[in-house]
Amino acid sequence: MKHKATITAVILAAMLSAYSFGKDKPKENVITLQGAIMDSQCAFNVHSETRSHEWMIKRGVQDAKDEKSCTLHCVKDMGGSYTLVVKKDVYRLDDQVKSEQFAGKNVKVTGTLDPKTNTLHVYEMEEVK
Amino acid sequence: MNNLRKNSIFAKAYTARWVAGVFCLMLAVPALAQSHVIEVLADKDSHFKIAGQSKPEITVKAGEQVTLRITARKGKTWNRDGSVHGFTLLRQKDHAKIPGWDLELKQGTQEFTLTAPTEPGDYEVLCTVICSDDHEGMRMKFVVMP
Repeated sequence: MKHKATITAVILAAMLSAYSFGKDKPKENVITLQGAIMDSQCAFNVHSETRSHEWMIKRGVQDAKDEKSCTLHCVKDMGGSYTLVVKKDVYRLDDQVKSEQFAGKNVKVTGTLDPKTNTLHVYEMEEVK
Repeated sequence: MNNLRKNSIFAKAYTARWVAGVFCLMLAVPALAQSHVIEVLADKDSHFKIAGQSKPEITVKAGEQVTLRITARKGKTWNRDGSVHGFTLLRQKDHAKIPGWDLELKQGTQEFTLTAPTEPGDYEVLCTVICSDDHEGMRMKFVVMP
């Protein structure tokens, strides 16, 4: 009787872990992209066809001295959000907390893409030097 | 005879449904009328404007349903997706974003039905689209009353 209960518990645990693993990290559609973490204002605006902070920095906006400070200023002070800029493509990022650690930096992001909202569901993010 | 009885049952059911419909409508109309409608102009000179207010300010009750009717006019620059201004609500003390209150505005008039923050206090509305050289000043006070 005990033996049966143990086997049932083990099977249930295995099914549960397989389900949760599959839920968090579907093996299909996982992509890796390399680009820069940038604020949504500079990334989406027509003033920055090059998707850069050049316009803000040239204008001498306070707290926007370089890539990092401009990104942090636009997100934390001006209500923007962190995005991933890969050449001319801009992706929204669901993990804003992790993204903040890499503000203005070049990163490699692994995750899945929601094509409807162009949002990356981030699994991993690491700096690329 | 049976047919007559059937018809009478159908007629009664029809009347009951009709009465229920009217009753629901009577409940719904006052609820709609009570919705707090706020009209805002997000102007081309990078200013939020509210009719009759020289220094625009929005005051709402905590947790109340609010209908924002915003008219947006294109400034000097805009987003590639056509958004001409943003309307994002931040809590003033820590600049935390309020979920659901992060709107992108297209040229013209648009309506949003939102729930006011449940925490009373001072908030700030900011534009999140770089709309001109004066974009950084495009902000407005937002107060949540208990």
